[in-house]
Amino acid sequence: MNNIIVDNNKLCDDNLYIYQDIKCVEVLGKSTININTNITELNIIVRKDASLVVNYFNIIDKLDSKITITCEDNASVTFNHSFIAKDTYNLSLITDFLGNNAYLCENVHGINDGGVSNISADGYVKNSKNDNELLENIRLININGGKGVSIPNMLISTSKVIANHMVTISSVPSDEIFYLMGKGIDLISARNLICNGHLTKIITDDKLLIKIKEILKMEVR
Amino acid sequence: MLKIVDLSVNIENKNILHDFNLNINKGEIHAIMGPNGIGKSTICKTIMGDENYSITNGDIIFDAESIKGMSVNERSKKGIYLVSQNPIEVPGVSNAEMLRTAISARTGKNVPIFEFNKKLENICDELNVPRSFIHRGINEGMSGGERKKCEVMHLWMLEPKLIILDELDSGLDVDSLNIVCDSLNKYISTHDASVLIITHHKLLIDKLNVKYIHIIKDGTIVKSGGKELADLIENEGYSHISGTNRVSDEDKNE
Repeated sequence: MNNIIVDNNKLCDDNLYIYQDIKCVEVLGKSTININTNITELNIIVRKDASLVVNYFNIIDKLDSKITITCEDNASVTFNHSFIAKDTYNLSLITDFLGNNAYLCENVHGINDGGVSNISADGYVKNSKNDNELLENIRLININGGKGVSIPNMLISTSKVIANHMVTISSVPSDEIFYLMGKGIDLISARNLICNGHLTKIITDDKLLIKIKEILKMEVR
Repeated sequence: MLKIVDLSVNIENKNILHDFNLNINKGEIHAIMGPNGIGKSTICKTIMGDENYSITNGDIIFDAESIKGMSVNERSKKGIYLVSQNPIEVPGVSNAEMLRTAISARTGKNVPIFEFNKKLENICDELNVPRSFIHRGINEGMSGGERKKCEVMHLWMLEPKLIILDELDSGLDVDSLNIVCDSLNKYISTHDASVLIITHHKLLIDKLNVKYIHIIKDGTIVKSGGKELADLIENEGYSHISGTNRVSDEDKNE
């Protein structure tokens, strides 16, 4: 298992091969990438039998971002991305299955804090490819006038695939607010707890989690 | 402790409760019974301050102070605690984090971590709940019984004066019900807490030593009495219950 911190767009690890100035990452074996910086363009190729977990968190002012994940035979990828959008965040998530029996799960949890996020999720499974699984879970919470849009675009040319796209865009759930206030927590603190939990829930790396919690403590909403 | 006077409650312009009166003194355990869909949960949520329910008449007085205008968290800090019939999940927010925030809101001070963790662990052991629940998301992935136990865990940490139990036995197996009731009985006796229970079943009334039973019908209390009322309901159902047995004016003026 390799743990890599991407800081200022620098990736370094023994088992990853880097192409074109970090715009492309090739994954062999079992790896984790943890990202805490802006990504404008990143191509991730997960080779045959390899597995990858990506944990990606950032607070975004204005960003156009394109992330492409390509899977070969038996590849397994979990892509976890949480963000706070303060202005406009356009994210294009493209997934392409080149092989068979691959698994890709994308979890995107965002807070649109006065900002707007436009998430387009494009998934491609070609005619000759079988037994692949693509799951897209996008959950956006709008606060302070924020807005979210998610556009699925799946091009599936085979019947032997599981493809699932789920999107939830909402304000902070009122039943969760009522529950926490019922414990004596004021409205603002309840909202912060829920939003912070929403962002950290999908991140699986402990070091990145600690870093995120430090950042969130400094956020004043 | 709790006095509800001539309360009328609407939800979405539909009247659910009217002329509702109830007195609960310190240390007393009361139960409200009634057919499904009659407004029993409405009572719980209205006392707690759920904004979906609007009070159109009457008042709710807790510790000699009207709480009608108070927010949910203010009512909680005064000492009111609700265990809902189906406690919800709050993903990503751990029990520990929530409790530290809640206790800090009550005391105005930071929570001493060592004592906090020790107390929580002891409570988990008594409730036969894994200690790992402390750092899990609130009710996340838990069974109905585990959720109710977590709510009782929270109760021990927050130390309320009035506990409202909305169909506590719903979703609990016999063993879990016994553990939860034993814990509640211990809390009630050590803290001299008052309790309002919503239930359909005599079993819970027996387990929690309920002394005062009120039958609700057509949006108001129609009969009050002791445990014999629960026996009557158990044997004959609600259709035979009639008459009014409202709080007297003398009681209201106390």
